[in-house]
Amino acid sequence: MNQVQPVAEIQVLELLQAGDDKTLKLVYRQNYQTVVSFILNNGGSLQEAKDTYQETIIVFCEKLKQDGFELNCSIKTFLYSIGRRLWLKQLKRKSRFTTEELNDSEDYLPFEEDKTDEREEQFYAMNQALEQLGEPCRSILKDFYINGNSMEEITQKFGYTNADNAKNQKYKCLKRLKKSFFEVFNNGLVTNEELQRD
Amino acid sequence: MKNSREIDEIIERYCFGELTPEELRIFEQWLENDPQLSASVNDFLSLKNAFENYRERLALKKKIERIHEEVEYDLFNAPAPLKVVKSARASRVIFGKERSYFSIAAAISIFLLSAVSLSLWIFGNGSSKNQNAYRELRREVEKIKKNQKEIIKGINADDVKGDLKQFTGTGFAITKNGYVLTSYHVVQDAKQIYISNESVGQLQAEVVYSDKSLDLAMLKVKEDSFPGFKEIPFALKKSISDPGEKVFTLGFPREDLVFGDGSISSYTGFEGDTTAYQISIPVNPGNSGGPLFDNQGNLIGIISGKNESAEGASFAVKSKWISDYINSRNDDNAVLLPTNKLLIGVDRATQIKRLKEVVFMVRVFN
Repeated sequence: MNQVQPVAEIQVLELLQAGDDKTLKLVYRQNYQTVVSFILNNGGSLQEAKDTYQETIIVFCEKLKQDGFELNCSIKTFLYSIGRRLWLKQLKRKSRFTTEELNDSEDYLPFEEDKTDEREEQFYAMNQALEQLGEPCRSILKDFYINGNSMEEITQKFGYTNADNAKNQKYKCLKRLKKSFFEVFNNGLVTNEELQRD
Repeated sequence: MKNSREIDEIIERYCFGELTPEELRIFEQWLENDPQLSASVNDFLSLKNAFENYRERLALKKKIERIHEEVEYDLFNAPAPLKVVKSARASRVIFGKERSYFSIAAAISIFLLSAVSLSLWIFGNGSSKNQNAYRELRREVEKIKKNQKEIIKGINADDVKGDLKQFTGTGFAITKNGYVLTSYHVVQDAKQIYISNESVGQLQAEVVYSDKSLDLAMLKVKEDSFPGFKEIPFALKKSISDPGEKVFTLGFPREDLVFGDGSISSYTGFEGDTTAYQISIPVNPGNSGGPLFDNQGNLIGIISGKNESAEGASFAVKSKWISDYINSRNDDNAVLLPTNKLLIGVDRATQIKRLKEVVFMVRVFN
């Protein structure tokens, strides 16, 4: 069995950056309650809290991968800040958030708009757009653009008589997806300004 | 002139780097002279980017969901401490409907528990063989804990005490339309309550009314599209059962439903408490709020606690008090006490099969 050594945060970060899942698990467990109780205390349900926490971890992982990433606070504070910001955005989207003060239990960092924000918005918009799309469009596009299946496989799977029919269907689906994706992406952006106005 | 589908296809092939050198040359020339085309190309590129991002995030999401499942047990399952009564001074006696309570240590004892219940949990009733097994397990646990503490120390010095406390106990349906009974001390100070079992999945619930001295709480499922529980198979027995009668309970001292049986040992509970029976069922933290049934499957009580200093002495609030209490709070007749007799004359396994549909783990977030 491996001897477990005390690990400093900097080493934790290095392990995380190297993609060590055990460390990720530990960090996940360690910070769950802090972020989840923040959301429960600010009008979230348990499901929302869990989802937002998982998104927090995703954003954290993405930030870790960015060039020149540097952490100047504890991981806990960092995660709390990300989770806080994500929850604020969520409240904005649901427009449940009026002028009430948030109930904070920790210090947090104000974030600058950066690349991860764009990725978040992209993901959100793509998710929305795919959901609005309905079947079979959603599955066709997912199979082709996300799972990397070939047009022949799709023709067979969805029972099209020939590849050209399938292609035509895919073309129509993509057109619709494109429309709703950009609609959500361009209108749904919650800007930093809006977040700081409160 | 090409139609729009063909143009889109060329844009796509261009973005995926699939054009032949000849096509590429022509396309690039075309691009230079047509700003609309280059806008379309940019749109497709961001869409392509979004697809890639979506794929990566989805993979990450899956991984994190897996991690969540692996640590879920640790996150959610600190069993609710049983109310352990300890000192001779804590006592309450009820004469008829007039109650007087002399409860001094009872409230405090609820909080004294983590250490006590852990040792009860580990050394609780079991043969000496089992104890040895448990001891070994305990050591393992401590070793792991120590190792983890070392890592944790590195991560966060005082992170161990989170803000959110989570407890589990047991509860059971009393009406088809979503009323669930449990112990007061299980849902005490709860911010959020969830009930779950195999057949209903997880449902959010809220306290409708509760009584600290009887240690009873009535919950109601709080979900918009709640279809209702299965038929409540048992009847609530209003008369008093006698010592020696065989009884059993179902509860969630751990993630899965656990059956326990024994008999009624005494007409009264701790220190002559007339609202409760003493029973000889070994119970563990997490059993609180579980239903107590007689041989015929009639509900005769609800598990509330155990005596710390006497092994195998557990207590259950009598169903008579449950029904009196519910009737006293039941102005709008929302709760009709169950009177079904689907469990009479069937064997224990069949009784349990029917009962497990209406017995739940109660998860509480403080």
